[in-house]
Amino acid sequence: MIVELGHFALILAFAVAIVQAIVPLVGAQKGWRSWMAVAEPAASAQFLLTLAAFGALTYAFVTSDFSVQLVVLNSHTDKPLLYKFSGVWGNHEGSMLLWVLILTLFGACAAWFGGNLPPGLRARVLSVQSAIGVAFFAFILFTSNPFVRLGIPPMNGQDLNPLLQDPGLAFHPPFLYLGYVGLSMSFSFAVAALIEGRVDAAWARWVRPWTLAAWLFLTVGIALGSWWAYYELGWGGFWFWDPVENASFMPWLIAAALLHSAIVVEKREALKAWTILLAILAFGFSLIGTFIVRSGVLTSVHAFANDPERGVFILIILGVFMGGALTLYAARAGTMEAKGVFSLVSRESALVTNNILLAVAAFVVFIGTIWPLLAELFFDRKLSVGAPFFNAAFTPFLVALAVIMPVGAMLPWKRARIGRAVQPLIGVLALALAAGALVWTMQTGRSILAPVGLILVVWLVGGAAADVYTRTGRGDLRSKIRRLTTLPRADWGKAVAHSGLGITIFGIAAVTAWQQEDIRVAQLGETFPVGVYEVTLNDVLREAGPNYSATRADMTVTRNGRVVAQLYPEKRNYPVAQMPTTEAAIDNGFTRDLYLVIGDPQADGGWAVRTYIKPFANWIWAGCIIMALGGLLSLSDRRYRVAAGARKAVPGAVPAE
Amino acid sequence: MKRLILMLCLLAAPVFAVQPDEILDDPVLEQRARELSRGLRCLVCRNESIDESHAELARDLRLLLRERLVAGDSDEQAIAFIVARYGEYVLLKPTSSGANLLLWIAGPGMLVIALGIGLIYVRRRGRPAGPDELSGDEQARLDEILKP
Amino acid sequence: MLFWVIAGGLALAVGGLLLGALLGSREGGAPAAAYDMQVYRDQLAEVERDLARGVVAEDEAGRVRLEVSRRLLEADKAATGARKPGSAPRGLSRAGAVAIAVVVCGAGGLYAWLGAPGYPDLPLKQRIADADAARATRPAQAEAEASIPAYLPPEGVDPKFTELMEKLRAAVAANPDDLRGQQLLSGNEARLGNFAAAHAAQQRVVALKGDAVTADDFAGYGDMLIMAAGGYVSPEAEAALNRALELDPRNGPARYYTGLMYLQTGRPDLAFRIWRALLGESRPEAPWVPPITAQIERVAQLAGVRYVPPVTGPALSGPSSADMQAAAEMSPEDRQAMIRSMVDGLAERLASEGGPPEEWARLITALGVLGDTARAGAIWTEAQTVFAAAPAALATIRTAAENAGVAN
Repeated sequence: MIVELGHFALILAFAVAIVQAIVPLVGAQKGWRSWMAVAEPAASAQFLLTLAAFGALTYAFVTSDFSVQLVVLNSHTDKPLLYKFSGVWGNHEGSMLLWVLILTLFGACAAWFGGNLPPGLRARVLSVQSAIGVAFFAFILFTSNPFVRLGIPPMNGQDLNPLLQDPGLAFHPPFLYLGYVGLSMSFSFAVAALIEGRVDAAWARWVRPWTLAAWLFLTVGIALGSWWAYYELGWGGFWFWDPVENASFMPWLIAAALLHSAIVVEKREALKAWTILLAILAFGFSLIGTFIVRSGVLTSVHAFANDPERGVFILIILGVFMGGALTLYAARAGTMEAKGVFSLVSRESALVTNNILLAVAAFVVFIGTIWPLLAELFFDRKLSVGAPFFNAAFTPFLVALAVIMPVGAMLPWKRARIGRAVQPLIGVLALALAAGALVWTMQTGRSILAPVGLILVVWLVGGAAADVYTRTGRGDLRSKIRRLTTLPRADWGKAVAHSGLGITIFGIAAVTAWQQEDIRVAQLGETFPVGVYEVTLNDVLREAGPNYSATRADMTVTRNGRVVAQLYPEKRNYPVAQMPTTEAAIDNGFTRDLYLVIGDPQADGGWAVRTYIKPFANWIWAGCIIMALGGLLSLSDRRYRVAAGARKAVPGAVPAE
Repeated sequence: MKRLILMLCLLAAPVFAVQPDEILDDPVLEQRARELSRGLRCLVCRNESIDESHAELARDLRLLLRERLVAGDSDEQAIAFIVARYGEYVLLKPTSSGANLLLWIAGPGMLVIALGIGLIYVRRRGRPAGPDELSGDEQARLDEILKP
Repeated sequence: MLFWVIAGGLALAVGGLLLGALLGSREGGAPAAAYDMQVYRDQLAEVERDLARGVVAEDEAGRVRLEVSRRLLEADKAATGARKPGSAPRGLSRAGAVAIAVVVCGAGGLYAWLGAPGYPDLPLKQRIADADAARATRPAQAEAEASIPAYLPPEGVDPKFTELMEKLRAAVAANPDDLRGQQLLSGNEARLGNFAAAHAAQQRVVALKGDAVTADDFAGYGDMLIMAAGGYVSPEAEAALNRALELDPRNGPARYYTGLMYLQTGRPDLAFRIWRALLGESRPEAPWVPPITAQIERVAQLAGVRYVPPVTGPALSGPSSADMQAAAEMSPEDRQAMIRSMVDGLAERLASEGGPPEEWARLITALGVLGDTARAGAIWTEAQTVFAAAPAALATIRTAAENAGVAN
């Protein structure tokens, strides 16, 4: 009964979504209070009903209810409990249910915490959000219903995919979805403003935290996926410029642009039209991402759900929402008058430059991703666009962004004098260049990648530190420290996130430039040098795991005779699933990862062994986490808590502090 | 979840990326081979270079590439040889010939346009604002609004 | 019923919530500009706070203050002239309420179409518990026998035999402790299809044998009980089978019937496990092999196990797991066709490119399994010429040819 109640709740949520998409919007257009008021209970009900449906599906997974088709196809009694949970969204139907659950959660949050939003804006936002919901509820119910039951339930499920049973992969989709769907909120705000024809003062205050949250989740989601690839694929690659990766990266770039431009709207009431466009595009790219994953149109290594019918449905959703929003934009954007005035050298201009770089970078990724499709459609050429193109075309934007970032971050609003603003940065610049030069002379020739990476990390982290330091103002040390502690969290967030970017850039540059690789046939007991280390293949054993058999190598890594690490790379074979996997053994370190892979036995009795030394590899993901932390800090800033309606403000009645 | 096919591809033929027996004795030549194979696509794996791929076909391509290099081909000649056999699809970095020029100039072109528009916009925002002070009436009304 | 009560309650609650909001009287509310003013007030307060904290300079604070003040004044102007939100005409609100009610009711209709109303949850644990309970409370032997038509002696039996049987029955009745007599009686009653009498006699046999009783005796007893109940494995029969398995865990009939018992009581997974093992260990002519092969694929499906019936001889290389899975879902004809196409592919490859002796051996074996001995023979002949110079390779292939029955 629980499963059927879940199904019913899902359908009821669909009905509520239809009501919520229409009634409050009509109310807002006509100025009818009571019609607008329908939005809030509807949003809550929609969320709770979807939550019930999701809970029911989870219940079916956890109790191994094989009368549910989805459970049969994606679960197995032997699966550990954690993966019974993650199995809920480890498939198309369940992941779409998670998608709408998050969508309705965001809608409900707008209803719960939107007390100080103008009622018209709130009603329109909730209506638009709900319209997206209607589309996806229909998609789920009519093309991918997770609650399909089987008349004769089998006693066990079919899938025990060993590769899905991995913590990195189990939590990668929910984070990505939180990000994708979080951008729906910005989209709803943008469309609501377009429908109303005005951008309220509260608008940017709301859009920014939502975008920030979405961006933060995207950052974590992308980092998790990349980390998984690093340790699972057996050679330590972390980014492939694959269409599906790009599909998550484009919204990330646009969201980064959006959350910067929203600052300008909030503080200076300028860039309104542009910010609205970004909000529409950001969600558009999220939908494109969903479309790419679900349709497999761009034949990609990831697109496993080759299902044209579903792809077409999502394409229609994409067409309706993007087409509608952009048409509305074309008609209404002109009426968004900008108020703020600023000079050529100012924080505003720097943020405009930031937006240009991020948006064009996203455009480059976009065109590279769809180019094979365009070339085949229009020029009849079958070609590939892979990592070398993206590396060449994208990297300059990233470097340019990193170069202007500390300067832009320190410029005052409205008008600035460049000399005065960059003064505190001169020392940082000198330090960065010196560090770069030092590395350039020390490393054995070839790449400028690593020195550039080092220059950028010093420049970014030092710049962020200089920024924080200048914000403490003049005075003695004690008053500086006191001010440091009272510095708004948003300022801290900015500094931390910018530093995180620098750290990631350095990690990527260092691992790309300095990676050492050794591929050889090693005999048992043989010791061979790799870089500054010596690696010994002690033994190779065959072992039996719970549901796999493994070839496990026992290897010792020493440096100058001192043991650094004892590592056990494995090659596993899952006989039931008929799947071999490589389990690289990694010794994570602050300055380097040791990455060992055992290969096939050779004719002469040795084993193929691959050894990598990956300098600063962890910095890539550490940087991402730091970026996300920066976002979190910023999000916890007092102003947003106020903006998020921690208190219900009745305009005119509650005095400003 | 999303990397399934990649993994499946990797699983289809459980050999490794570059194998010890493929490596050329001449380290300079080997280095060149590695560089080149990073730019060539594994045709069955999609979006993986043959340097990374574990598939049988990628191995064949790697060996072919090394054969050409050992035979004394220059980098360009070796790549041209492979493109002639497998088509331009094999290049991960598309050429800049013909329509592909569009792809390569799209980014820089868009940047120039965007910077131009940005500059015009910023210049327009630079027009002087109103007077630097509130008028007496305005100040009075403001005080009234802000009165608790 | 409970389901509909909860579902209806849920729909009512949700509908009520929405209608309550729509029809409730809400008056007043400030125009949007008033909300803007609140934001600007907050911003002004923020400037003062930042100034006090020393994170902005006085001149910058002054500029921001001026700018925000201007916006505040503008919003103030807008607020005084703005239209306040009103309330909807009553009639329209009522119409809206009806529309909402219709949509919510529509959800019920959609569910009736898409859902499976009344289908209970079937968590695996509960299903296993239910199966155990059903097994524990299933009808006893006597009950089951009572429910099927009474025994009628078959027609057309040799009258002499009938006469002999009458004598035997009388003799055994007179001397129930005669082991030999009971054995004869049970065997012949079973032959006549009078299983009730047969198992009664077999029960005596088992008792009389004492310590000398064998697994086959118990298995036979169970067999007769099951036949008497029309193929139903009663608790009594199960007990007999269990005794048989205690004596000989590998007893074929007992294992077959135990599997059948699990199948009958809702545990196809256990049935499958027993039958698959039994099938793997049995000679093809064993009497339980045909019924198992006839049913095992369906049982595997019920058990939720991917199962492809074993092909005698080494399996073909090449089929991926996807192929195997596809094969499992095919009809037998399609599967045969698929195997044939794979074999043809191998043959073609060997013909055009040649291949290692193992592949030749595999091809011959496969053709033998498919019953295509003519082709297998031809391939064997060809292999003899191809590998004439390699006796070791030829030996491998010869083994395969012998197994396929084509080696001379």
